[in-house]
Amino acid sequence: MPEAVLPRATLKTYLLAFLAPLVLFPLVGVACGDAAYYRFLLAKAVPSLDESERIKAAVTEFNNRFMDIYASQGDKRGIGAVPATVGVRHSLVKDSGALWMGGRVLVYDIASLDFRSVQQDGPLSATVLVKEEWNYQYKDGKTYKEVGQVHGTGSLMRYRMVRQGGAWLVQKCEPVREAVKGVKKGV
Amino acid sequence: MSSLFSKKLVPLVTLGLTLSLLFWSLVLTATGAVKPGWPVLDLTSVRFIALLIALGLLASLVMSLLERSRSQLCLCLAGLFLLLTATYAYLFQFEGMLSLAEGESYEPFPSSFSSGHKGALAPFPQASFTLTRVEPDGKTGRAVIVQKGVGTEIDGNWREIGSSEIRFKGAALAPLVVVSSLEKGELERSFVKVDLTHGEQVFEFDTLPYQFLLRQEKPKGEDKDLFHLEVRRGKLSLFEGDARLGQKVSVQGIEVVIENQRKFALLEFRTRRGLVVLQAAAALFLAAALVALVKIKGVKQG
Repeated sequence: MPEAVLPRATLKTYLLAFLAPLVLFPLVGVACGDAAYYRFLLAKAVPSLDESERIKAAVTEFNNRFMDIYASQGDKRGIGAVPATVGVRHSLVKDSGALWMGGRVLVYDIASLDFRSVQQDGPLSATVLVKEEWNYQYKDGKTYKEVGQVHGTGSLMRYRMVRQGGAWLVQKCEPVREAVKGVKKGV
Repeated sequence: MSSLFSKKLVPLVTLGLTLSLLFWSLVLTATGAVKPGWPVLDLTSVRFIALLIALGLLASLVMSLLERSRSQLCLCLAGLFLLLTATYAYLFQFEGMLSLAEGESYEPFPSSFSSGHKGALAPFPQASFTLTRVEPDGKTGRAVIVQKGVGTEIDGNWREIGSSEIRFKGAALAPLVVVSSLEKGELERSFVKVDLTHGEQVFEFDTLPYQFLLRQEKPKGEDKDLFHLEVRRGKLSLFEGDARLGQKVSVQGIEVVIENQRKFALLEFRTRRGLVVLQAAAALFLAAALVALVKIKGVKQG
């Protein structure tokens, strides 16, 4: 019995059998935990839905936490809240443990974070370029009194971000020369 | 009529699921959300839909047995065979990049590979060899490996090695960086496999809280091996300046020296188990689909 003799209503139902899986596929994806992939697709079509702001917020939070760890003389209690991968958190702990250079403690303070570019490379990865300005000063490890002057330092940093458990985390942070191609101001 | 409808619904939904899987896989790959090839199967949703397709094929298979429809039976069997072979090929596939310096031996460990994609059941390529020579530099070169005393040339073409394949992707000079402190002696001594021909490279060692930026400078007079080195810690630059091969640079209680350079090759490994059977299964499925189409046309015309 070929399909040609079937009534119109049945043909519509048959058509639905083809269309329903096509439409439901992204919904199944969201339910299965693949929402980041379909959100990435959606952001391609609607640029206002991209995750630049969330990624920038994660970088800012990382630097605030970085500053706290140094300001608290290497207190590691807040390390779990640092938006970074386990490897980066480990290197922060390692570095903060070695802060006591000749009985002195290094204290950082953010002067400015100027986001030069945010590039989402894929649903789970992004690259951020930030021109950072920091003030720093050494303090006595015991009395916490200032030792010497406040100095300033600035550098362009590249953050490799990864999306894990729905949050953007710093996977790698490395300095970049200003002359690198693709570094634009005011993005 | 309703019995005919229910009989046709399962195969039609299975077909709809298959077409939707193909469509979304194509969209995800074309937009760069997923890398082409097997990584699309890393998505839970794709695996879930593939499971539904397998269940749909099984249900259609049972119905075709009850109806004694040979063309549908063949199509379902071919579809299931295709799914099974694809699952096997996915689980056992391996792709990976590794860097080996001259004189270094390959070890089948995860840490040997810098990047790649590995199926859940795929072992790391079980081969044993030592890289003896890399010549000349760049992408058009070749590497010579020694396996059980026998030398083999590896160039840009895939060459079988055990149950895997290997090819040469590029070569460069790896600087030997030695970091030592006056109190603790040598802290680190490693060949850093970074390609300085691509400009300044950033690297760090797991054991040290420093970041190093290194680039090769253009030769000035007799200084052929001249580098520009920057040592950073946290947000601070501790040292920046030129360093010759063998010259010790003092940085806040440590000494950094680029002691030597050694050629290294960038090699690519891949294992494609079950690929021939998968291709045969795909051909079989296409043939079964063609036969079923011809039969449906015949019924319509009759």
